[in-house]
Amino acid sequence: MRGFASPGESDREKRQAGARALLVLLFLLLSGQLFYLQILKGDHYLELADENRVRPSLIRAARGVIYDRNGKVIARDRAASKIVLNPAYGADSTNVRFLSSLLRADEATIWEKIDWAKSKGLMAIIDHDASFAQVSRVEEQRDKLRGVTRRLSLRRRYLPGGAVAHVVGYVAEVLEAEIGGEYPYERGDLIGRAGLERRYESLLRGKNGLEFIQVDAVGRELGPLPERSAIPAIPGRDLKVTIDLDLQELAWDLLGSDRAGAVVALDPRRGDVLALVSRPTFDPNLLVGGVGHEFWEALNSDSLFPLLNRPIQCTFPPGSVFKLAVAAAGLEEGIIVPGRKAVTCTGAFRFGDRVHKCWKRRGHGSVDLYKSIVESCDVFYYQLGLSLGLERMGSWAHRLGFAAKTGIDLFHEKAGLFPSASWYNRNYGRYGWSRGVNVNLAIGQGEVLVTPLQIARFIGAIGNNGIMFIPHIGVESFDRSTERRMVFWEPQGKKLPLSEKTIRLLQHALLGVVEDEHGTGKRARIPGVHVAGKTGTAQNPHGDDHAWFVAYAPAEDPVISVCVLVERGGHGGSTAAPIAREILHLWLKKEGLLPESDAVRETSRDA
Amino acid sequence: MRDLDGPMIIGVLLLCGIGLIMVHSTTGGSGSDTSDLVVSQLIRIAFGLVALLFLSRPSLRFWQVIAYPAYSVTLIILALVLAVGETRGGAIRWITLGPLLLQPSELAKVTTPLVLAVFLSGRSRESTWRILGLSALIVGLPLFFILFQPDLGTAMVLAPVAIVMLWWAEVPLLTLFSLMTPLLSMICAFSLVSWSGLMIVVVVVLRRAGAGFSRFATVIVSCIATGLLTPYVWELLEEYQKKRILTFLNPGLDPRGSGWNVIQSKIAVGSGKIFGKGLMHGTQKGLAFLPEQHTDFIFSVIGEEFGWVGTHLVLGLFFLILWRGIAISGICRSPFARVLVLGYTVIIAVEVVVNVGMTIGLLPVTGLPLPFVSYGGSHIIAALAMIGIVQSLKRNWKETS
Repeated sequence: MRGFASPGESDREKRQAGARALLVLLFLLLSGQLFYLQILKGDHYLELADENRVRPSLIRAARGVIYDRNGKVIARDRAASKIVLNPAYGADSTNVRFLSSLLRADEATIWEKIDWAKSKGLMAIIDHDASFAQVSRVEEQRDKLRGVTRRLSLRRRYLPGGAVAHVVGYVAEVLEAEIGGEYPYERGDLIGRAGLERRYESLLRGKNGLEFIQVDAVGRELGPLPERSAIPAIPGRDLKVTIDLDLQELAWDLLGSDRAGAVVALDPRRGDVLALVSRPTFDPNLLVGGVGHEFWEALNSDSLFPLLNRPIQCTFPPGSVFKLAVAAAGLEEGIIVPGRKAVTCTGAFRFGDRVHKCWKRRGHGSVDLYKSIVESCDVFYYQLGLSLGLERMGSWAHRLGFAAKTGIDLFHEKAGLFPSASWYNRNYGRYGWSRGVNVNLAIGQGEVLVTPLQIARFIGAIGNNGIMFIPHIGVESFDRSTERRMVFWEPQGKKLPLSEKTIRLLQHALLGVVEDEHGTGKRARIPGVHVAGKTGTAQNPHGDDHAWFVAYAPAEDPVISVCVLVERGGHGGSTAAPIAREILHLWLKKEGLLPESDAVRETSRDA
Repeated sequence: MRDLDGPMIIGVLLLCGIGLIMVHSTTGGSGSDTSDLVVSQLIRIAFGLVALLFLSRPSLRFWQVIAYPAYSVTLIILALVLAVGETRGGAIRWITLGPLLLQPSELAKVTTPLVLAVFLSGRSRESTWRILGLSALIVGLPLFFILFQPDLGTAMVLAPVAIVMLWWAEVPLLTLFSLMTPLLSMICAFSLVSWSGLMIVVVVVLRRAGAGFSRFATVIVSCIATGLLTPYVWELLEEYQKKRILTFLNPGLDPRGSGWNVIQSKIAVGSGKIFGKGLMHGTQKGLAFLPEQHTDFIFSVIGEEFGWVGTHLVLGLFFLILWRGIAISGICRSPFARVLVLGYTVIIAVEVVVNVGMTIGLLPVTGLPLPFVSYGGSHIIAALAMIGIVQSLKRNWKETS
């Protein structure tokens, strides 16, 4: 035998036994691990395998559509493409660079979104509303991207944009604190944050469904799992509101983009809010889903507060408009006796050591109630205010609906203020004020504060023979899944404690404001129809006067009452009245209350 | 035909059959190129089986004569691969020979043990150190080329094969142990605790085996040297290799990265439970969760679709083949045949253990196929060729030289 030194048979046996033992040992190790994986932990791994390939995926319920009184769409959900990245799969530089080149988006911005989502353990939404071109580029390169999915999402769209911003409000994604527990929300759901969207949240909100999506190893969705059927989403109910979009947009245009102000138009017979406009405004579409930090900052730091819904959330001194309420009080209290020329206006009124001027320096001469309203004489009301006193004026202000919320179906309505003696004591001290405040309050200056909505409602009530309705916007819901229509609001009116006579006198005077040749509201005249109104110019301690104009038409049987407030607009008669006129004109035309020939003449003149 | 080892051949045929079924299962269902993969696998198996029959014919002498020329050719091809090879999956392992895509490292698996067996069976009178040195050269040359491709898997197979063959060729165990300690020191070098533990074990073993002072000193010094050098060498490794080694040590490190394969493979195997989900019903596999499922991770699919029963059937067949390999090695009279049969047995054993160990999370992901079963050309033909040579050696078991 060449080679090995004749190996001992036993040595060879030993090595062979050793080799066999080693083989058995190795295979036992493998078998042991297999026993552990497949027998002991089999159920656990089976569960993991199921989780692995199935991802429950929400089917977002569409929010209800908001329609105006004629069925025009104000707000509706629109299908949008979201580009979503799962940070667990796709958060690496090559992938992100590739994605950014496909989306033509800034790489750093994408990383910001990924890092944020990562820190929250969420999917990163790279683009909320990707364009068709972006989507098709991403879809084309789907196989080369990791963890990137296109999701169909619903995006709230406010078609009239800024014109309806304040009344409709806007939606935003729910906050972390609003998820789970008592809240019916899931992450990424939209919630109404302002306006009708917030007020009718429970009605507009739908119920999300659930589907089971298969995914592959790199997080790409493969489609729904065939063996588990989806739970369909239930869309939210549609909401029909009293707003007339044409009127709303007209009022919005008339106020103009460079002015701050408010317009309220009501149907005095029902309390329907026909238009509720606030300037300056914002585009609610830009607030939907993922608004930039800077945008919010800009909105909040704007000195004109564009987020405020001025008709209900801002209070102003009513100025001469308030004279109506004081006049009503004077009539009811028997201080004004109709037909008697009670006051002589010399252009100034001395009370104590102060001289209160009338707006007309030369004075109005002999002034009765009619003239006091038509020509808006201040001196008449200085005396009336003193005669009435603080308590009686306050009591009538409250009885006529001031210094209290109107009950409109929007949140954050302001009540306004009519100061009482205790209010003065509290704010100015026991001896810090005098009876002289009555002089100012009687012409709507000083501490009295009202909202444009209160004024519109009040003037409407006068025109409506003293019956005042609660202003209301939402009236009807429609459930798309059950096809059930439900009217959930019936007009609620109450009679103001004013006598028939008082109302007739006020109505007559209001008509004179517009139709009388000496009237301050002549610019609100509409040929062929009688318009009743009242101008107001409220002193503004911060700058130019606020211009008020309130009106209703037709004077005999009003179908609309309107209140126009232009902040720092100067004289109500010159700034606010023409706006009110256009609004009344459009509505009367829509209601068929404009004589045909006049309508033709009007349009030709416009052109 | 009757000279063939029945149990071994039956085991091989069954495994090839299971492989075909699994390749069909992993690639089947939707695509049209499905059948293409099964057909090409079938062609390779057929080709391999013909080779097996052909290689089972020659005499013992033939293998001894052809050993060195075959080895030389292997080295030349390996060198060529580095120059003109095709890159696939980050490594240059392939060379195009006409229509055949050849993986020369597979060729090295066949020829290196052949040469080593010839060498070891003729050198008993030389000093142990000389034998060790030359053996290291024989294994080291192809290993060098293979590591450069880089093909960590094949390199990992050749090293233990050499050690077991040396042991079989009566190199004292203590010597082999001494040789292995620097390697272990290298592995443990990343943690002071494990390295200290290893050193204690080394000292204890050397003392109990009665090692002389010079050996004692050499071993300890080399252990310390490698322990110090390793962190430096680590920096030279390819990024993906580092990553693989790290995630082997802790797969949770990067569950979507390198650890992904291991975790998904464990989920697949585990979710098969006792009887599996049934052929073609694996969900892990069905959704393309498993990477390289018809090649390196085919055992995961077996585990998922046939459960514990399936994995043990496959392991049982391998055990049968390997058991027979050891037995055949035992009956051969010529030292050359004994060492070579064992060498091939060890190659298959290492491949099985490394591949299965990898799919069930016991060993790092190295990219070694499961012999006979995984989809692939070269490795199946190489494995069948080795079985063929073993048949030839068994047929000539009475020959002594």
